[in-house]
Amino acid sequence: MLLTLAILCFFQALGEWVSVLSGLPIPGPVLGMVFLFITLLLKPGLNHHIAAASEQLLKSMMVMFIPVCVGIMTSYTLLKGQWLALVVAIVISTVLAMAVGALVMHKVMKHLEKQAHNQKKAVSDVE
Amino acid sequence: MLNEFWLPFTKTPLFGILLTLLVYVLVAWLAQKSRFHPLVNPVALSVLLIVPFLVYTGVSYEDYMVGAQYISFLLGPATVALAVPLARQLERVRKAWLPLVCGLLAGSLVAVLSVVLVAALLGAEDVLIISLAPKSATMPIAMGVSEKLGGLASLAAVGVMGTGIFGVMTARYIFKVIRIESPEIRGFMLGLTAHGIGVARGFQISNEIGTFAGLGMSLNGLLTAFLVPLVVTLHFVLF
Repeated sequence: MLLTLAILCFFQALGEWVSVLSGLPIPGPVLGMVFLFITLLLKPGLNHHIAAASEQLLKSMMVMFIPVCVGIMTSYTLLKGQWLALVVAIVISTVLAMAVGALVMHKVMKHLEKQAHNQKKAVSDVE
Repeated sequence: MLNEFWLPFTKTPLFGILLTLLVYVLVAWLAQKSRFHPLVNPVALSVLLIVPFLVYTGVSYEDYMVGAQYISFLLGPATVALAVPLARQLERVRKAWLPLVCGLLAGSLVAVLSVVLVAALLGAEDVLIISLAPKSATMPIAMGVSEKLGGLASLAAVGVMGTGIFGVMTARYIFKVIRIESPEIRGFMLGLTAHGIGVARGFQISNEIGTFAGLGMSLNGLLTAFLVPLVVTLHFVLF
C-alpha cells in the first residue's frame, strides 16, 4: 500500500515537473500517468507490486471528488441569473457528445467487422 | 460545553476528513443497496448532505477544506494509477484503436462546440461561455484552460462537476435509447464526457468499463486542452 503510494506520488511529481518545464496545458497527474504507463510497458514486473493497491485506490475515487464539489457553495453567487443557461447547456451538450461519440464508435466497429468478415469470405472463396 | 469542543474542532483537519468519510460511507452503503443505480450517485448525494450541514452549523468552506484537502489530494495519485489497468488492457485498446480515435474526435468536438453554442444562444455572458467550454475535461485541465482564456476557474469547476454528475446519472439511459451495449464504447464515452466522475462510476460497474473510461478521460483531456482555445477564438470571430 505505502510502496504503491510512494511510486504513484513519485510519478505525479515527475509529471508536475515536466508540466511546469514544458509549459503545456496538461496537468502533472495526467503526464505522470503517461510516464507510469511507459514504465509499465518497459518493466512489466512492476505491475505485480502496485496492481492491488492501485485498484483499491481507483475503486475509492468517488470520495475524492466530494470536497471540490462541496465548493459549489462558494460560487453560486457568481452565476446570478445565468443558472438556466448553465444547466441547459450542460444537459444538451452532455447528451449530444455521449450519443454522437458512441454512435460514431459503433459505426466504425461495425464497418471493421464487416470488412474482416468480407476478407475472410474472399479467402475461403478462393480456397 | 459543546461549543468549547465544537468550535476549535471545526478548525482542525480531523473535522473535514471525518465529515467527508462519514457521509461517504453512508451514501456508498445506499448506492450498494440500490445495486449501484446511476441515480444514486455518491458524489451528488454527499454534496446534498454536506453543503446544508456546513451552512446550518456555520462552518466555512475554508475550514472544511483544512481537512478535506487531504482527500482531494488523493486524486493526483489515483489519476497516475489509471496507467495500471491501461497497461493490462493494452491488447484490447490496440485492437480498437480506430473506433477509439474516431469516437474521441467526434465526442470531443461535439462536447466543446455544443456547449459554447447553446450557452451563447441562451445569452450567457462571455465569462461563463469560456468557463464552460472545457466542461468535459478533467478538472485541472478545464480550470487551467478556461483561466488562460479569460474564464473563471471556480465557474469552470461548477461546469465540470455538473457535467460529470449529470453524465454518470444519465449514461445508462442514453446508451439504452441508442442501443449501445459494447463495454468498450460505454466505458470510453463515459470517461470522455464525464471525466473522473465517469471513471469512478466505471470502476463501480467493472474494471473493464473503468479502464476504457480512464482512457477516454485522459485522451479527451489532452484534446480539449488544444480544442478549446480554437473554438473560443472562432466564437469571438463569428459573434
